[in-house]
Amino acid sequence: MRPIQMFGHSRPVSQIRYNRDGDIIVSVSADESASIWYSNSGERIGTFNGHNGSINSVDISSNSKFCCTGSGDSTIKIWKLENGQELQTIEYLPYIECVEFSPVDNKYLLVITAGVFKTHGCIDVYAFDNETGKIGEIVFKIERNPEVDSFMEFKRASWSFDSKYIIIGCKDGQILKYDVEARKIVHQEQLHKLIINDIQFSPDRTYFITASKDRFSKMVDVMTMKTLKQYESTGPLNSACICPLKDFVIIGGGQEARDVTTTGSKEGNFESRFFHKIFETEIGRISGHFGPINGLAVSPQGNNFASASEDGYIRLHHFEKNYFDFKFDVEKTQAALAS
Amino acid sequence: MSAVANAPVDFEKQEIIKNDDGTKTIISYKLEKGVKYKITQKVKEVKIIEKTNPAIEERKKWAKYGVAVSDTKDLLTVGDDVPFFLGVNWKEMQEQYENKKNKKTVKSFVCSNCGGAHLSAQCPFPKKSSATAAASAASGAGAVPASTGKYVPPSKRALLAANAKAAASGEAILTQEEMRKKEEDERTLVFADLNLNTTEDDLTREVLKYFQYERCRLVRDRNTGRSRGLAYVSFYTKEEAERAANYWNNKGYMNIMMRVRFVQEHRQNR
Repeated sequence: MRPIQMFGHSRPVSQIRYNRDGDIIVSVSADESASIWYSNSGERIGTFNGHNGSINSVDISSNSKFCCTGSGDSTIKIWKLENGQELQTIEYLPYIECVEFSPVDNKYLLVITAGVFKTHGCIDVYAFDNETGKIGEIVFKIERNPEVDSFMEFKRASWSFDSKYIIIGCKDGQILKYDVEARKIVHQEQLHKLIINDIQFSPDRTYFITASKDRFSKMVDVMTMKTLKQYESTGPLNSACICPLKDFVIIGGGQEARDVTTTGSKEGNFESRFFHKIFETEIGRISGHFGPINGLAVSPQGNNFASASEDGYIRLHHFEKNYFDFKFDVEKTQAALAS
Repeated sequence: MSAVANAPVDFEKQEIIKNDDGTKTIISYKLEKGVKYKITQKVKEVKIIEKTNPAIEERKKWAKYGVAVSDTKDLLTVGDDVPFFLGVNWKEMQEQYENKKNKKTVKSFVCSNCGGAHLSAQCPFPKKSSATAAASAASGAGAVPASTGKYVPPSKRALLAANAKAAASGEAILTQEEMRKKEEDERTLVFADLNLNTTEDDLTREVLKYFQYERCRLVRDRNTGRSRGLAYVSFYTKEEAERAANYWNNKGYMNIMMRVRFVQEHRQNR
């Protein structure tokens, strides 16, 4: 397999996402810019320039018209994807950890602010208009009161099916389930021992996968909040995603950037690892990065995936025949029995 | 492509015959270095219709903006070939691939005592003393007609001896290549009646796990790439091949009984 290396950022890339049709990738970086790319050729369409700090998070609306970025300069901005026009800016006091649109109709926009400058970390949910790209009023807030609540600041959050629940990962490894209709937290659990770095949903948004610094990645059902499966790596994890089309999950991460100089180059674990979703066994690895992987994303069509790293490269992998043909031993014997 | 004798032909014209199975046969002629050639091609036309999302087509027309306007070509590079194998044994597959790439062959052992594929120290046969070993080597070389007086390299002595014997009994004389093939056939088995889902990997991993084999190749259909349910496996020794044949013949693998025979036997009963 020959990946396409996209070098458009001069500093670490923090997150990447595909749009719903799978033809556009958007990446954000610590070099204060965001880039959008065609996923089939790796060609860059444009960049968004305007932030004055590293950009931490990004999301594309489901009709691929608008894009929202959340930055370390304490602002969120809405951009028009077609021409890179900056539409709206909202300023905050603390920096932004994560932004995400609610699925399908993009009725809401979720913004996580960090707990600095005497704030305690908070989630603001705005109304959003999919057609005009305008952010409306704050619909509700999820606030953290350090005197009452036992969990730490929020790190990542994502919407479940029908925008019914918000799943929130905290910095101490706890996972929260917030009911949007009832406006309260309905479930709280110590899922991981250390910070949860990423939460990504399955295509139907009924279960999700987490990636944690404690080198475990867990698959959890939304309704029951039971841990269905867990995948173990040898190093801290930064990102994990679920492949459509095949029963695989991809997890990635590696030695933290500040520890890289103190350990051997082979111990970095800078590979994206493929696990079988059901049997929990590792079935393959793709190496290539020379820094920890910060973001992983699979196209919703399931025929390519991209990994973004601390080294500033984005590597775009188009799957080959052996990926689509692959069958686990059990599946093979089943096919043999049928024939 | 075949050379055609005198018949006068038109080099411009192509003869197209439509076959019943939807394929076409195109016959044309060409002249090369004064020799006429007839070229027969069998062609199958396949129409592929791809449907794309109109929204995606619209997005492909977007003009570039921002820093991307001045992007150069070196922004995009095609990375090195990354080995990517899926399977429980991905690590071994990856290692094998890299060894092949670096042209590192697996070191094969030749016993100095009996010539088998193991270390000399692990030879199961009683050790020959150096004098008897030399004597046996001499007896092998002794069959060479000494009258020629020419030096014969050790690698060719066995061939010469065999050919001398064949000439005496009135059989055909073999070249070195034919000799090698014949020798290999003697320790090669044919696994027939395999399940069509069986891959080469399955055979090496499960069927041949406890046998010392040299190579294993599954016969596939040239056009479709589908297995034909037949595999040739060369073992290091004839004894090893016999052991495998005794063990696997008429045994079930992937729900079908396999037939395991030696190559000669297989060719006779085909």
